Amino acid sequence: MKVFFYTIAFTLTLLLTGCNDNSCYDNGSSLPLVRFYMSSKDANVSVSGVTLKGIGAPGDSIYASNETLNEAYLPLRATQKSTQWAITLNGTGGTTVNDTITLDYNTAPFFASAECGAMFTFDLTRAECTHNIIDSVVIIRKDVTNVKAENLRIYFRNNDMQPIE
Amino acid sequence: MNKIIYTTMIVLIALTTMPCNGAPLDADSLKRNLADSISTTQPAKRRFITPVTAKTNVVLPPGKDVSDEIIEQYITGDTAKALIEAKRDSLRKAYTHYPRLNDLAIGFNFIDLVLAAAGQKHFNVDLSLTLNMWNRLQPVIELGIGKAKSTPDDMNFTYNGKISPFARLGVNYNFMFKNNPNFQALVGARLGGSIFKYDITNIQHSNGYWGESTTTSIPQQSSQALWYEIVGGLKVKILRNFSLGWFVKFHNLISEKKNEAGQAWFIPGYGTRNGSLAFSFSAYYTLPFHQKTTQETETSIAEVK
Repeated sequence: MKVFFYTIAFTLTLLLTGCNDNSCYDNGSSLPLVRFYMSSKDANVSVSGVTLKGIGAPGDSIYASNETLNEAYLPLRATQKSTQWAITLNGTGGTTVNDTITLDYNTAPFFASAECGAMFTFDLTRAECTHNIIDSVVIIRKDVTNVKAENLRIYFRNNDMQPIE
Repeated sequence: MNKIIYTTMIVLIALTTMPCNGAPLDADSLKRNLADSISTTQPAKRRFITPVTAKTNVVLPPGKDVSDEIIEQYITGDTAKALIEAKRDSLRKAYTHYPRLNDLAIGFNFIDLVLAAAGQKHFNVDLSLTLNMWNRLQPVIELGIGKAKSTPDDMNFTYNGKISPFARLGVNYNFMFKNNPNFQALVGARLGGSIFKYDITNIQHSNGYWGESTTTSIPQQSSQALWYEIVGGLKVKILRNFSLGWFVKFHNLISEKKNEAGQAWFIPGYGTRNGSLAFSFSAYYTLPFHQKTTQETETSIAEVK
């Protein structure tokens, strides 16, 4: 009986100490997810020739260059209360159109989990833009966490964009 | 009288020896048969039988360990009921019924101390009181403390769970209630609760695109949690009144106070969030309430075996 007792105790100890799941299934940081929409049809669209650049980023580094996108994560500055992004659309005739998006928010430290770590979360308070090609920017979900969720919609005026089927 | 018997026998022999086709026997055959039958039917000698006295009304002395109640039923004439009771009584002897308050076990769960010495970054220790009733049901109360301090590799924080108390209430059921209490196979349930505090410090945040790096913390967090556990395990006497026992626990949170800055990673008494299984290993000291009864019980069980 004692041998049986010790054998099972030892086996279970090994099993239980070896079966923890240490994976993070969400993002490692809080990023607002922006989806592109066509204002006339209210449909998610794929936009070609998109260049994204953070205003004030060191070295004027470009976040996305001349890509075809229907959504994008736009990192926010944790040390500031506001972040600006410049969106440039390259036209087929070599023309470019620029717009600027301004996002205001509050920040707070947040402990997601032991697996995903600690990070800053953002509470969006205002979203504004210029209106060269963008019709409007709408906050869909104001709390920005590491969980993938649509936070913002950018509605474009260009009716030539192809809706995503 | 004898003449009548002899005559009857002769007639019967004649009938039984007659051929099946009904043909009469000849005179010689008949004479032979008669001679044979006469020689084999001599009157038997008189048999002498020792007279025996009937036992019907004699009351035998009761067997050893037969209860007075059963004897009384025999005496009063309710034999059938007495037989049923006697059968039940024998079953009672096959597995001893233990007293309602059999013993009290004081336990110390120390497995986390061993694991902490081996590198685990958190631990729970608890003292338990287990009341063994009828060697079957065991109400349990467990009181303890838990603590955590961890800076996981490749992560950007230090979790500091302050020493906080917890309590669990529950009951065990001993499947081996027919056997000696020195060996117990247990299943049970617990309801646990804890009020605790924690800090998350040294949070390193960096954003490669914006070229920002900052350090912050989430101090003075407090929370409370309620959970249940389904447990199963064994407890075995090692030496005198000392026993060792282990439990595998399936646990789940029932409720928890959630903070804006996130949920606690470590809950005293519950453990870490990842995984629904936990394990305890305890040393017990048993205080028997009925020392004589226990010894008698062991003796009777040995006799039965």
